[in-house]
Amino acid sequence: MYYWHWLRNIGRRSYTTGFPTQKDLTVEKMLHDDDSGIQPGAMPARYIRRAMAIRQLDSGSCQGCESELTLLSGPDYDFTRYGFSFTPSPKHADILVVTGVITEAMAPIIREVYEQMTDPKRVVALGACAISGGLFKTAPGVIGSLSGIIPVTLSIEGCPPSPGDIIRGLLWAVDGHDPCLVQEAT
Amino acid sequence: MATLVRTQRSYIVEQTDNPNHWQEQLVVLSQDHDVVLLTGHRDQLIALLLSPQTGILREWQLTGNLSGVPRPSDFGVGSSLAAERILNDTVPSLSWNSEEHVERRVHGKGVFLYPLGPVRADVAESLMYRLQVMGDEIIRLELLNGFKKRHIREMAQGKAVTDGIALAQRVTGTSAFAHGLAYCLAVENALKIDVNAEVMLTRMIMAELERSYSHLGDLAALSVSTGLPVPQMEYLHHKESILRLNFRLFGHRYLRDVLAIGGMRVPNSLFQDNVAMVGREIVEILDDIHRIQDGLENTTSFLDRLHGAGTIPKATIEFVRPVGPTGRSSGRVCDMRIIRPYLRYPETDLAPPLESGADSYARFSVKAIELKHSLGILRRLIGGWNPGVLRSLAGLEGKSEIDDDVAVGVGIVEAPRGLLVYRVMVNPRSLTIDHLDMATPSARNWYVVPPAMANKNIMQDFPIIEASFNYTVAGWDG
Repeated sequence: MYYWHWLRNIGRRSYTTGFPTQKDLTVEKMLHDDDSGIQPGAMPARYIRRAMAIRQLDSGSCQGCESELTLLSGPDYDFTRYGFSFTPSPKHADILVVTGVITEAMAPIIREVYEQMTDPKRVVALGACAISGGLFKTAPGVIGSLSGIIPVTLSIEGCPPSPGDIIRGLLWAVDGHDPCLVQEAT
Repeated sequence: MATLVRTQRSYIVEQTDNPNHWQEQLVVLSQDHDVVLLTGHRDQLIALLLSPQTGILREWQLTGNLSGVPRPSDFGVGSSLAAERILNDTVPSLSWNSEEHVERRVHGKGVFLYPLGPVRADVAESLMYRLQVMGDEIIRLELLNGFKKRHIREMAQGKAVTDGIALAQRVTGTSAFAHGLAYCLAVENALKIDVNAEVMLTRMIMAELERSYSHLGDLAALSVSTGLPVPQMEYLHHKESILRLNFRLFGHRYLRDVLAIGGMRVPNSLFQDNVAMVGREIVEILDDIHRIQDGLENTTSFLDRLHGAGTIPKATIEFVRPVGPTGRSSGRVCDMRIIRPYLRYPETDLAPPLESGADSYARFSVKAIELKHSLGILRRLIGGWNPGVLRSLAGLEGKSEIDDDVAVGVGIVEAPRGLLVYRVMVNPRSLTIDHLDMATPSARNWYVVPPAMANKNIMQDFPIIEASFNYTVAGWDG
């Protein structure tokens, strides 16, 4: 039984998708409807090219964005192949990924985490809630959008955004251009 | 003065002179009944009592000034803890924080406070842990929640009933369908809408798909907490496979935007997939799950960390009465699919697992068996599923025939994390929500975590115990 599994794995293709640097129809079908899935904000002039540590911060999400972020470290998307990893400490982080609506209770914590990150740093607003408040725009104790609190490098639309969208957005935030354009050129 | 109102469709009002009378009754009833849901709005408390033998549902309503009345949890009705807190937050004038319940600390030589959160390691939700440790041993844990309140109950007020589904589905991401389903069942109950058998079957398939991917995520988290990335990766791959299956079948990875009151809102592009192929894929996943679980059951480093870690004390089980996999792993029969069958669950020969260890291993075992059962149900259901029939059912059509000011409905489902109840008050004329109450499994089960954590565990057990529960903070904060 063990050897059969081992042999089968040799013959089988890797689970990991080549997206966004290669074409993958299954993943591309799950992307945000139109091309407006990712909206670059205040993109920095200088780009950083090295391994990126991500600090995720939940400020009032429904746990859907967290579920998708966890899948990025799984075998299907495996974002470590681009050098990404999650870090527990904001002081080690290069990218801050904020999920969920911005509540009044979390706003000072978000500012604190942002200040503790060392330069150069990037901020990604993940999901409709973090970008504009989504359905909870008018809820009591909810501050509209993340960009009103800290400068946002890039926004990734979706509720929740698919892992394909997230990985494309993260690469975009680091490289400064859409990784899918490179895919078409090659 | 407290007034006791018993409601069971027709409102039977019982006036009592003794303010403590209702609570005495509540305690007596809670001994015979399984479910006690208390949810507060304005100056009202509503309790739902469910008999596990007969499935009869009774509703109790308490109105009036509550100050001076002892809290229900003083009487040992622990499952009302979350509702008490909600009532305290919404109506601070009804201060229920009696003197005995002020924050307690442990003092002494060698006792350290270990604050953790709300920004924690890895991808995690915002929750503050205040661990008090003596050496390595955890001697007390306090949880501070409320960082991410979205006020979903208040948001729903005045909304059209069809818009409420979107709100309900955003309470908890990985139980989105269960929340939407409970809401739809509640509204359908209130407006007396009958649902087509084919719609019920589709809803059941979706509910089991959701249970599968949610449990797969929980098991992946538990595997990696013991330092085993191989089963974690395999579980995550299968979770992704089921999420892709969801997308292919229903157009959304988390099964949102598909439910409608009285039917389903199914995209037309949906039926291109061969249903037989989906069945074959599920069989493949099921086979692989068996293999992974056999591997874990034979890994001593995994079992050693789980056995005896995070055992819930007996008194806590009796007080809080945990629901879902946690309840079933501590010897409680609490599967709503059996106790109060909904959809077409009576047709399936469902046998939920039951363990009595109440430790991390029992929770792992219950989740692993439930996952296999869910996939087994899916395999059987998908064979007889004809999605083409669904096209004609567009949901709520026209206005309902009920000529009343308010219609009350209750929807009870077994979400992946346990008993989930929605209670909706609908205005049948304008079809708007007058009031929405919900009791989420996380809101109830989180109260089990502090006593289980401070039960002869050391700091190294903390991530394992946390992963073995894996409740959502979003469902608690609401």
